[in-house]
Amino acid sequence: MRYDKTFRESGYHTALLTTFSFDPSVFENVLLVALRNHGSRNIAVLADRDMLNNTFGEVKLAGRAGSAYHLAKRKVSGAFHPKIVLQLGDREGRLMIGSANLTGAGLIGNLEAVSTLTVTAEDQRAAPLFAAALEYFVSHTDPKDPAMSRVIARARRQSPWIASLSPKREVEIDGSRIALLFEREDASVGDAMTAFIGEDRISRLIAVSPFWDADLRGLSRLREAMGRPETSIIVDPREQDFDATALSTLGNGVTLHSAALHAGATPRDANTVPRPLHAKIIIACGEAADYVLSGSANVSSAGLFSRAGGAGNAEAGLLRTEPPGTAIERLLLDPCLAVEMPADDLRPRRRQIAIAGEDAPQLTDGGALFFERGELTWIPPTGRPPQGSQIIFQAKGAALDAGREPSFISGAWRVVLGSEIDTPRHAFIRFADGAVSAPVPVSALGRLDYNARTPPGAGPKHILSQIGDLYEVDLEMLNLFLKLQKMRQDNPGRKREGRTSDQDMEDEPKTPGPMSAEDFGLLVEDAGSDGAEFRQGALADVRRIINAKIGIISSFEDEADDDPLSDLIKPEGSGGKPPPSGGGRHRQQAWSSAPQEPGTMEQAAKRVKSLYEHVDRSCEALMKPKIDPLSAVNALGLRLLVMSILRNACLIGDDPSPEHPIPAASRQGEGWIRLIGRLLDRLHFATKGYKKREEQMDEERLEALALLLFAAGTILEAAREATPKVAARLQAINAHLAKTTSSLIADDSIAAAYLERVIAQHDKAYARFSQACSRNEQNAQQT
Amino acid sequence: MGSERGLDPLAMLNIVESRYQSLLPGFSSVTTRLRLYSFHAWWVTYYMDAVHDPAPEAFNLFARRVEALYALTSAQDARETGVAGRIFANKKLASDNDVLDFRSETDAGTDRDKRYLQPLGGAFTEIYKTQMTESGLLGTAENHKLPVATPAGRALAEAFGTSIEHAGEAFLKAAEAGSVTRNSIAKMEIMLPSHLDQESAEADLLRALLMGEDGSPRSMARRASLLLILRTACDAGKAPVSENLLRWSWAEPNVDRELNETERAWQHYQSGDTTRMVYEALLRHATIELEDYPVGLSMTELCSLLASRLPDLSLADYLNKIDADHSDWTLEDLQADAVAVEAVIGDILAPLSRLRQMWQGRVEALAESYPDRPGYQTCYSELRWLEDRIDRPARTVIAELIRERVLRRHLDVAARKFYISQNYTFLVEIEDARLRARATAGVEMTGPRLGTALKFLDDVDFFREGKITEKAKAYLEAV
Repeated sequence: MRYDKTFRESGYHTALLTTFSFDPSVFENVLLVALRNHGSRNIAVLADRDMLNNTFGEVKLAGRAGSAYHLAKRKVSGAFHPKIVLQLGDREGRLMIGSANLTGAGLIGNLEAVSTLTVTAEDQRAAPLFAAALEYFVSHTDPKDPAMSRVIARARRQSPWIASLSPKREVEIDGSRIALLFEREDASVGDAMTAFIGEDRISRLIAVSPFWDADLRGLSRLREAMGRPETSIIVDPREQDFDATALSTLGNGVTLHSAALHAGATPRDANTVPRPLHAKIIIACGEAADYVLSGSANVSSAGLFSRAGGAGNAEAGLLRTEPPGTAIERLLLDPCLAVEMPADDLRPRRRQIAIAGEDAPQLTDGGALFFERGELTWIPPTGRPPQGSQIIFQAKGAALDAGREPSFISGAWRVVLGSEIDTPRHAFIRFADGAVSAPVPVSALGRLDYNARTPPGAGPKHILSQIGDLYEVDLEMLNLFLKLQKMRQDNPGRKREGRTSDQDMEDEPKTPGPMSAEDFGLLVEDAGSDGAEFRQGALADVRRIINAKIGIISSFEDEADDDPLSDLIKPEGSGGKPPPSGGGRHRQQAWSSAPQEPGTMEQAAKRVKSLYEHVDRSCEALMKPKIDPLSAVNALGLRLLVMSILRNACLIGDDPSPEHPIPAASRQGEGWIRLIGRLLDRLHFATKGYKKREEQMDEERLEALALLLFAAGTILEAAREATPKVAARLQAINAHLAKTTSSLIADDSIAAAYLERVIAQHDKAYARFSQACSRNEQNAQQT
Repeated sequence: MGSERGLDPLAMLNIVESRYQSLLPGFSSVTTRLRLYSFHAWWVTYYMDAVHDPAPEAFNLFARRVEALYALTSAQDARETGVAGRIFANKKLASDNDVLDFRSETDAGTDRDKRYLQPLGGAFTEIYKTQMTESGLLGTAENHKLPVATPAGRALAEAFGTSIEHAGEAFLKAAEAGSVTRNSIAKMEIMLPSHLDQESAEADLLRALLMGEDGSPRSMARRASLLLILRTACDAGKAPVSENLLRWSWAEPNVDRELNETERAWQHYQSGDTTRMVYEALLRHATIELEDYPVGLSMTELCSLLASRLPDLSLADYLNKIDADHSDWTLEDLQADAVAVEAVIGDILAPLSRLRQMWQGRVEALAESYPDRPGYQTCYSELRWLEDRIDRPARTVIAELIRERVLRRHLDVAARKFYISQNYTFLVEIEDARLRARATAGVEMTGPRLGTALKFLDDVDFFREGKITEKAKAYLEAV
């Protein structure tokens, strides 16, 4: 399977990744989305410190680091070079170790080699290696890093199978010995490989690597340790680190080959460069077995012979035995080995250019930053005195802060930001000597914890779950609904989300039976109408959620309690059982999360702006010919929009607040009276000539009409007090709506009763408006 | 590998396409002949009235049969162009058989490459259905998902039926049978696009359809553009009018009067397309530079290297200089030079410099066509971006432009495509915090449907060999 696609597989809650090179765009737009969409929420990346600083300074910041995943830097004396992906699930796991960095080139652009091991509930044979990999990962983390500690703790808590295991560096599976190699205090990767091979006689050594020592000493040392077998070197043909002279020092029995002949290196077309070689593979062909090492270590001294705590790199690889004489063919290396590359074709690598007047950027590390409960905690970088430094931070969409000096409190460097500042996303450190660091992502511990929660499902299920989790009907719910609708439009083949055993599955579209020419040619009045389909799908669940929040529940009492949706909207910690006092999933707000904090006025202003835009778009849509404003989908959209406005509406006489920021009326712009009035006015236009048809007066339409009637009455009352000039127009709109409604439900007592009940429910749900009316009336009388 | 060269590597194309699509709605660059609207409306109406089987399989089979037969009819005359399925038809006609059996080529079970056309719904479903729906000839049915004719579509179908006399009956019979004799198809030529009787009721309806006489907003937009074409052709005198002549004469209009709304919109379109091409050319230029460095260059190194070739002037002075150096060049010439593979950075920036001069002091007018929204990178956003930095050194600004507006933009766009479409469309990629060349992509102009517009005008005798006809002149006078 293509490497990037492996990240789209489900079954894991945790992903711990290490890399040398990191591309924030690719990671956040490709891997992170894939991981999160497929259930991995507890995510941490450990990357080489200097490389990460260069990337942040030179290429791009990691916008979601510290929020959707934890990104930590690691500095060793050489390069922090391992490329490990450790994915853990409740009872299973996957370990991928190879040469691929977390970049586009690593995922697909380069010729890479990645080895994979899996464990399942039934087959735990490789599990000790997973425990060793986790231990290795932890050994490279900073124990003072609270975000990483939480990621690791969550991983262990949710995967008890790994927490209870003793790590082992070698296991045997189906006759093959498999070892996890990494730099250790007592042995390097190269030493461990030699020890693993033991007494077996090696007749041939094949070394594939993009990077080498200029004098090939790493290869030479490995070759000596294996008894100077015949050696084949496979290089990227475009550039190398050694020349013909260095090659000749290895003596006889050494041949040079080009990776361009590997099947995977072929460019797609003439405009594409050949895939650069980045795989690092060593095959030692023995009498008892082929020994294949694949991992991060280049065939260099720093790659193969570094030890923990000493000079050199951190590296990781998987070494396994294969039947003798089989590895070359399995790895498709025969075409490369069949043709020798002339030593004269070796070209020295050009590493950088000198540009007049432009010095290569020197990026200073800024350490690590964490944010929790209004407080920024700084772990300063080693080698720089923290005293006198300033933290210059930036929140999303805000300007850079002027800089604040941290104080050493309770064993850590801290800055108290208070509640007026939104969570900083990244910061720079200005050190006392004037040096300014590379950008440092700020890990927001609360957000990381929140985002690490196990999702209830992907796709529409997930959105439904989010909708269900909301405390009340507001802009966020409207936006989620629109997202769901877009998902539905973007996947026309999945429009019919029929209720089957799996809600994400759908029934095959049914072809209607034979029909007359007249029926066949009947044109729809509203091309966007889709009532029947709607009532069966995920969008219908949105309606049920809204109704539950408003308290319109009785029409669903006959529905089974074991509907899959019930599970989706259960909060964490409920133990998988319905709340004892809830008595069913339709109880109003029974499982909703706590109400959100109102936030700042600035945040509220954004919310209001967005609502205005929604109203503009809806008004524009309502002017289109043939639109059916009360089609199943449109009715729900209108309800969400009007309810969101009401939710944010400030009562007459009160000052706008972050919780209720839209005034009843204002000089500068529209208040909620005009906002809803405008919608109803357009609705008036759109429902002109509305004809009664039997199927039109379904519950969706009645619920929308009920809300609109309630809203029309509410704004009329409010307008009489706050903006008498528009009251006359609103009166006319109100009258039209009432007239249209009564004509639509004429002779339909069931519909009329339902309408009345839903209006009454809105009266209860929005009691604050009627209470305010009475309060204002009393005030007026007293005056 | 799932690796593909990235079309629209900077995500600047869609908004430009939307601009011209809104100016010429109702057809596309792949709708080839106007009379095919009559033909499709005719058989769809017949299907409604006589077959009315709501099963998509039945409808698609019918569509394939009529299209294949129409292709056979058309292929009898090599001069007849624009009918899909020509390869199949030529092969079939080359056989010795008197009876041409096309059941296999129209069967859904036949391999894709052995069908008369690969898509199961034929050219109608792939191309014409949407455009005919946009034009108001087809509508959505209430009881099924198949297209049905609207009253306008039915009227056109009836007029076509009258035009083709008795050929229609034989045609439908043969289509349903899936075979036809050579003798029979010879009599069906009357149905072909070039056999349209320009004095017939069908031609009148097609003219009215094309010229947007139904008054709907979409039709009015098309009508305005087509009238502009006819007026431009009138003004061109004896010079033949081509797609290129139209787009460039509208891009840099040589008139003293104020432009009308349609003329302005076409000018905006071209400004947007040229800006996009300049940016894509900058991306290619950077990529070609990177090809010399297999291990890559840092963003700073690359941008500084490219910008170091600019003179030490302020951006204003530099852009003015470029413009002065090319004062006798048209925007068309400048663009052609800019998109050549060997173009140097000054050549690439020259069209942008011309656009800046063209819109100086009135850049806000571009907001009519290119709204200022997050993520939108258009001529409006980019000319303002440059203006905001106009007094800074050219080297600094152009380095920033390449870094922020070209390279980082591409990396972000390609990353999103990588996830959404799973195609690796990076032209430059990041490895070890360095940029590395991955592939180069051509820089192409958009095709704003003007070719189709000219062909359709030709189909209704408003245009002939690049010149306006007397019939069109009379129409213009009557407008």
